[in-house]
Amino acid sequence: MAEDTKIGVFLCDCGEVISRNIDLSGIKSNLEKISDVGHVTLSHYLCSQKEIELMGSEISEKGLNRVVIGGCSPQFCEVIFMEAMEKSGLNPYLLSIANIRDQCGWVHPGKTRATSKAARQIKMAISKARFLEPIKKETVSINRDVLIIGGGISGMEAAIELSELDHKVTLLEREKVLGGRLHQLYSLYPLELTPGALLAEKIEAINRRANIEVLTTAELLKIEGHPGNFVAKIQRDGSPITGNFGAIVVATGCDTQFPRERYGLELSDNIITQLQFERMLKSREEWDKIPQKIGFMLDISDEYSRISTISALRNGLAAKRRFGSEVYIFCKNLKLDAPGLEGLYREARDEGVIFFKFGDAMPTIAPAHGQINIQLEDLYLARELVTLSCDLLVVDEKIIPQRDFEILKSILNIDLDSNGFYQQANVHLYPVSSIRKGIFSAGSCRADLDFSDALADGRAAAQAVHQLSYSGKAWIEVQKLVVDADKCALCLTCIRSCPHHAIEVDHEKQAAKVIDLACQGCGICAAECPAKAIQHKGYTDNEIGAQLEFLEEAI
Amino acid sequence: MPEDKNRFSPKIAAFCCFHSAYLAADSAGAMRKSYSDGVYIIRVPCAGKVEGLHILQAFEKGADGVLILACPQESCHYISGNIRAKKRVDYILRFLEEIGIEPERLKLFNLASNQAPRFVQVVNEMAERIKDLGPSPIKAGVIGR
Repeated sequence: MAEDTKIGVFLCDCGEVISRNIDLSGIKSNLEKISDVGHVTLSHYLCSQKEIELMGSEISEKGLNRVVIGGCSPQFCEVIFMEAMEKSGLNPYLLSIANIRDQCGWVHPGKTRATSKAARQIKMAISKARFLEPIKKETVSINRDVLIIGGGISGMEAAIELSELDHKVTLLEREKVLGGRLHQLYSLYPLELTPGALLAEKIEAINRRANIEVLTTAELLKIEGHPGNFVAKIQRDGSPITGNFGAIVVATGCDTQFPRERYGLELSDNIITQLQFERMLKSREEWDKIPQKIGFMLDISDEYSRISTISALRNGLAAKRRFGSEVYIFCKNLKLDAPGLEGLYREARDEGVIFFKFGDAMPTIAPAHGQINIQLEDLYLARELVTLSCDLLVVDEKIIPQRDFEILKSILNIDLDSNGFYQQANVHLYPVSSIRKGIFSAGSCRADLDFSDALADGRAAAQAVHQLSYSGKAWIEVQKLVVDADKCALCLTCIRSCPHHAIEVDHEKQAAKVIDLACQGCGICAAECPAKAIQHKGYTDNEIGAQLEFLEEAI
Repeated sequence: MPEDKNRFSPKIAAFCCFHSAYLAADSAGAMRKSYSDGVYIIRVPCAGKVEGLHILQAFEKGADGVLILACPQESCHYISGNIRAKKRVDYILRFLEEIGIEPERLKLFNLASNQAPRFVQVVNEMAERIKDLGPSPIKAGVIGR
């Protein structure tokens, strides 16, 4: 407690919802006896405009320097109260909320017990409030320029979207031309557009826009600086380029691999991969003779691959339509978990594609005399043994990360997930964000995404970048995590434990330094620091300890 | 030790991650699912913020039980906070018995923000467990019960 605290306690009965079960006026009169509580009110709807204004004037009139709310959960009204405090000149972080509605009144029947718990909850909040420290907010400038790594479908889409949002974009491509996988695909069915036409359309859009710079045969060498102000060292045709960017989008795509050991087979003239088959579909000249019976094998390399399933359905249909061949799809479980897939499956069945479903026993695949003999226990036919021969077998492949993910990962200082793809901050909530602020990933380098999902992902990443840097400015909480340079022994524990790579060494002070813009406020560093050199404002040892005081009171 | 098991109402300090368990507790409220009123929730930004010191402090000040409620495994809001919390709890558990506190008094659970029924189940089971154990031996020593 650095200064004399004068606490204002504002109790809310939430339109008599809380007072039904808790004796708030009793609590109010008890609170008035506490020496540093300078003001207590009880209102019906504290979050209403009128009460908020009243609260603001009480703060300035009575010179309150801490605010304690007894009401609903902070997830609902915390922001409103913080704004009100800011308006009346009080630092908004000097607020402590006792959640007496959601976590007391609503869950503990019996007025006496609920009242005594609520009183204790409010006292906990008051004890915490005494130790609260202000946090300054500041605007920092953010570079609006964006670097996109990978000129495939997601990268190009992100570039176009960002350029439309008026960001200057630099698009890096390792190869000589843009397009990535689009060069290898035969069709984008059910989209009418061919991959070539889609590619031409995107390249035309990119060329038309002046604020997209395309760097082909270029690679990223190094990244320095912080989110919002990265400095990138790029190598193009052997010559170095330096650029400043606010955000980086990684869209490097994935790789495929044929797992020989899973199949117990080698690829050959009539055992080929999906991509080889697409290439054959594209150039008719490669065919010696049209295969009459084509089998597609699924779920052997990877049971959960969406790309393989979509490719098998799409290519099966194409083979049927183009050559009129007999098409079989062998699968363990067809998983149609993307928009439009169910329709594609029905269409394939209507066209006469035959599906075989096998169980845990893997089908036996035996090449003989230019034919492939396949034997499997069919689950649809009550486990009857089915024997078929095909002219051509198209096998599924494992979708794997590219070899240079490891390199790029260490350049960007982000993480890979357990499968080796770029880790998403949260699969559901922040799919295109990486663990590091300002760095995003899109397309099949982060998840098993087909081209239509990859397109959408590129746009999603562009929106995420825009959200971060649209104004060229960002509000940050200055020194929410404070490092005491005298205590810091530079053991680097915090740097290693920070999940967002938001801590670096301040060589001048010889201490760890939290980068405010990159920090997301989890407080893991503060908990891990063996020297207790880091304190997390709002959750300092004193504040948590003060809340635990309630336990000492006799029941 | 408790004279009357029914009369003893354990005090439990529940450190709740603001991205999962705290919200689960809120929705338990919205669903009017009642649970033991000796459970006091302490908001933390991440279970990884709860230090060993805080856990021991809670026991020292007289908590009969301490709960750490973290995000589900593999989907921690802060990537690795729940794993760090687990490590820390395991560490504390190693010497809790040595200082005379039953290890059952400290538990970590993983739950998501939409798991209000699980929240209620977890805290009620904890309360039952503590009721069986009786008041914390520390409290008996310090306050002289």
